[in-house]
Amino acid sequence: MAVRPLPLQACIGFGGTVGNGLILHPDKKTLIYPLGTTIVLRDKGDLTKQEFLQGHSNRVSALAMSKSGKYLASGQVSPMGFSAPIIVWDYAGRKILHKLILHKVKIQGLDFSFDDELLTSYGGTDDCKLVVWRTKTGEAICGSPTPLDYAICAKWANHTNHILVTAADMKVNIWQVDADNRKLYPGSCDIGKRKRINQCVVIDDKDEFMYLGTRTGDVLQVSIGPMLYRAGGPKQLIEMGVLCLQFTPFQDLVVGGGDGTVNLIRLPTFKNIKRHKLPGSITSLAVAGQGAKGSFDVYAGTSEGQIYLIKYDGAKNAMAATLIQRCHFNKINDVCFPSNYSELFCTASTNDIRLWNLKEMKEVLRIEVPNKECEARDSINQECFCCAFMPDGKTIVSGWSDGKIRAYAPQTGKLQYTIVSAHQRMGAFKGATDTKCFQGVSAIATTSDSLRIVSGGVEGNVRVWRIGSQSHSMLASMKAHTQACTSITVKKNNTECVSCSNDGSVMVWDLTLYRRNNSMGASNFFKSVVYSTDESQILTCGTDRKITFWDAYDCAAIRVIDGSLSGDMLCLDNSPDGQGLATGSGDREVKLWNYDEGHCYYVGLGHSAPVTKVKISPDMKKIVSVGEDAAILIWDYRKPVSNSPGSDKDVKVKSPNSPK
Amino acid sequence: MWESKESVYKIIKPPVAFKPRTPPPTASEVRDKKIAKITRRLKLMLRQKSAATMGKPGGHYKPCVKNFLKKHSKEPVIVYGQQRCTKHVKRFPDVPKDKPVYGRVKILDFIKMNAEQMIHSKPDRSKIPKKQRRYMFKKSFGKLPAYLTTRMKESADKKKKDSPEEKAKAAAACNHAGTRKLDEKERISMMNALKMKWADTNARYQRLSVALDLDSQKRAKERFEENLTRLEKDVSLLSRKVILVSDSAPSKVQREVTTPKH
Repeated sequence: MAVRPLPLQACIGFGGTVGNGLILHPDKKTLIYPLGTTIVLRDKGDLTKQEFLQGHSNRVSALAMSKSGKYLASGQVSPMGFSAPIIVWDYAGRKILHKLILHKVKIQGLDFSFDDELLTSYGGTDDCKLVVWRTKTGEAICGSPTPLDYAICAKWANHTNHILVTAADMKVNIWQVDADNRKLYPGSCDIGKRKRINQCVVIDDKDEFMYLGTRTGDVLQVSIGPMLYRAGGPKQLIEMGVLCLQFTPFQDLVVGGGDGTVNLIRLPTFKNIKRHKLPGSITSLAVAGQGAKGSFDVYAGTSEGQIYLIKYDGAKNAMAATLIQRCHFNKINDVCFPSNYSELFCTASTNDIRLWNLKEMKEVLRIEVPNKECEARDSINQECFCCAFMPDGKTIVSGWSDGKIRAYAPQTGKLQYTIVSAHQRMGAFKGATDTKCFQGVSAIATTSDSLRIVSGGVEGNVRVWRIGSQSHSMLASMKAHTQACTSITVKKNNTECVSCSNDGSVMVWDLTLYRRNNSMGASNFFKSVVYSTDESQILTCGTDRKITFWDAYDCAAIRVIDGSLSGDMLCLDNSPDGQGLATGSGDREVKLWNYDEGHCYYVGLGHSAPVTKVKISPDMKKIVSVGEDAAILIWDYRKPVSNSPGSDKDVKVKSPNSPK
Repeated sequence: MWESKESVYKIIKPPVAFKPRTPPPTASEVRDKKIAKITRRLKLMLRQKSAATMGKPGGHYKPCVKNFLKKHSKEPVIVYGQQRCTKHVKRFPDVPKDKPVYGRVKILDFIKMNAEQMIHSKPDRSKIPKKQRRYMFKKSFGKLPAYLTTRMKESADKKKKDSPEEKAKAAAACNHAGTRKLDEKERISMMNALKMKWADTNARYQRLSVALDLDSQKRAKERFEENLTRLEKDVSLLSRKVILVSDSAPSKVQREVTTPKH
C-alpha cells in the first residue's frame, strides 16, 4: 500500500526572517509568504482560506512574483555543498513549471523582468553567482560570478529587460543584459565617499533612479543613466538599518526598519513624514491599495512572525496598524489539548504560552513571561519547555527553562501559582571555575483527578506535586534517570506513570507508593513515551529512529518499527480510538501509522525543521504538529486504513526523504 | 485541585441557536388580545360572583403586598445632573471659541461709502407730511345723510296721516265723524299684550300665600283681583270685531288734561 500525502488543512506561521518574503499577488486578493518548506497562499481577509505550494526540500529563502501575476518563483537553502533549487510555479494552476538547479547552498534572491520573460537569481555567500533564466523554457541564458560584495539584492528595470541592478556591500552595479547574445556587461555606480552596506533596492517608474536601503539607516538615490549618486536621506537615520523598501502608489517610499518602524519618506526631499513602531523588525512590505488624498494600505511582515496591515491616512498624516496574523517566532516546544476537548489547543514557545482556537486558527490568549523574570541570566530567552491542561480545565500548567512550574488561569491568563525551584541542581562542569545552575522543567503531566502534577527536569528527577485548592507541596522526588527526563505519561487510573530520558532508560513509577515499578533500557535517547489507548502497551521513540512497543505489565519489547530512515523520531501520539498513531520526526515529516499493522499510511510534508510535537485532536478530526520552524501545522486526520480517502488537493509532493 | 474560578471549556462560547423572530402583532391582533383578556376577566368575575354568598369574592380584600409605605417616599426627589439655579448671578456669555483673525485689515473709503449710502437711501415715510384730504372727492359729498332721509320720510308719513283729509277718509270708511276703525294688526297686538299682562298678574296672584294674615297682603290680593278683572274687561272689549277709535280724548278726560289742577 502506497504512502499517501497527509492533507495539510491550515497552518499558523509566517517565515518572517525571509527578506521580502511577504508578497501581495497583483490581483490584490492573496497574500503569499513562505513558511518553512511550504509557500502559503492566503486570502487577504480570511485566515482560514489557505492554499499551499509544496515542493521544496528545505527552508524557502527567497520568493518573487512576476508583474503579471502569472509566475511565482521560490528559492531555498540546502545543506553546505548541495545544490539549492529554484522552483518556478504556474500560479493559476498551482503547479511546478520548472525546477532550476544551478545554485548551491542558498538562493539569496529572485526577481522577474517587467515582461515576465526573464528571471534573475543570485546565490548567497557560498554560491556567488548571478544567473538570468528564461521563464518560459526554464533555460539559463547567461550568468556571471559575483564576488562577495556584488549581489545582496537585485532588481530589473521597469520598462526594459536590458537593465538589471544589483547592490551589495559598498557596491552598486548596473548590468546591461543582452539576452539574445547571452551576455552580461557589468557597470559600477559611483556613490562617492559614502561607505554603505546596501540591503535592498527599488527602481522608480521611469527607470531614472534607483533607491538603495542601507544598513546605516538611510536611503540613497542613484541615477541609472549616468550611474551617479544624487541624493540621500532622511537626516535622522532609521535605527538598525533599512531592511525593505517599497514605493507607495503616490511615488513616495515606505521603508521598513530593523528597529520595527515603518517610515513614510517623501521623495524629492527625503523627509521622514510619518513613522510607526511595531514589535520586531520589518522584514517585508507589500503595498496593497490606494485611497483618496494620499492614503494607502501596506502589509508589513515582521521578524517576530506577525503580519500587520498598516493604513496610512494622507489627510491626517496618521498611520494605524492592525494585526492580521500572529504566530510564534521561535522554536515551539510543546502542544497540548484539554482533555476531551478539541476546540482549543495550547502551544509553548520562547517567552510565551499561547492558546489557539483550532477552528478559526486565531490566538485566544497569550501568556508572556518576559526574560526579566527569568533567573537564568545566561540564556537569551526564557523558554517554556512543556505545558499541560489540568483535566478539570481550571489551570494550564507549564514547565519553564528557569526551573519553575507556573500555572495560569485559562481565561484571563493570570498567574495562579508558581512552584519555584521545581527542577534545579547546583553543579559544575568539569574544569569550570564557578558552579552553575542546571535547571529547567522538561516534561509535565497531570493526573486525571487534577490533584497531582508529575514533572520531569533536565537533571533527571521525576517529582510529584500535590495541588490543593489554595496550596501545593511536593509529594515525592524520584531520582533514577541520569539525564534529562524528556516525556512523562500518567495512566488513566493515576496509579502509574512512565517517564523516558535521554540516558536510554524508560521507567515505570508507582504513583501510590512513589517508587519504581519497572524499567526498560536501550541505546537510545528516548524522546517521547505514551501508553496505548487500552494501556496494555507502552510506546517509545527516540534517536534510534525506531518506534518501540513494550508490554506495560512486564516491560518486554513486543515490536520495533523503523519510524524513519533518516531522522530522529521526536514525538508520537496515539489516537483516542487506538487505531492510529501519529509521529513527528527530525527529517520534518509527520506520519500517520496504523497501530495494529505498524504500517505508515500517510506522510505530511510541510515543516522545514524538526517536528517537536504532534498531537491528534480528541475528536480525531485534526492532527496538530509544531516544529522548530515556529510553524503550527494543522492536518486533516484520516483513518490509517487502506481504503481511507486520500488528499483532495492535487499537490505533487516529493521529498528526498519520503519513503518510496 | 486548584480553584482558579475559570475554565478552558468556557472560552469558546457554544454557538447561539437560531431564534426565529416573530413579527410585531398587527393592530387587529392587539385588539383581539385585549378583548380576549377583558372577556376572560369578566367571565372569571361572573363565575366568582355567582359562587359568592356575601360581599366580594374571596381574596378581594387581601392587602396588596407591594403597596407599602416606602422609605423616603414622601420626601422630595432631587434630580441630579440638572442644573439648579441657587444664586442669582449675572451670567456673562461664553468667551468666543473661534480665534479672531489677526492681520486682516479692511481699508474703508468713507466718502464713497457715504455717497453710496445716500444714493440708496429712502426718506422715512412716517415723517413726511400727509396729503390733504379733499372732501369733494368723498363718495358722500353733497348727499343727504341716510339717517336724515329716513327721519324726513317718517315725519312726512306722520304728517300725511295726521292730515284732515286722511282723517276724513277714515271717518268716512267707518261712518262716524271724528273716529277711525282700529287697524286689525294693532288690535291683535294690543290684545296679545294685554293677555301677557294678565298672565303675568295672574301668576303673581296665584303665588300669594293661602293664609292672608296681614293687611298689606289682603290689600295686595284685592289689587291683583281688581287688575285682573279690569284686564279681562279690556280683553273682551278688544276681542270685538269692529272697534272705532276717536283720536280726540273724551270731553271729561280732555278737561282734566287741559285744565291744570291748581
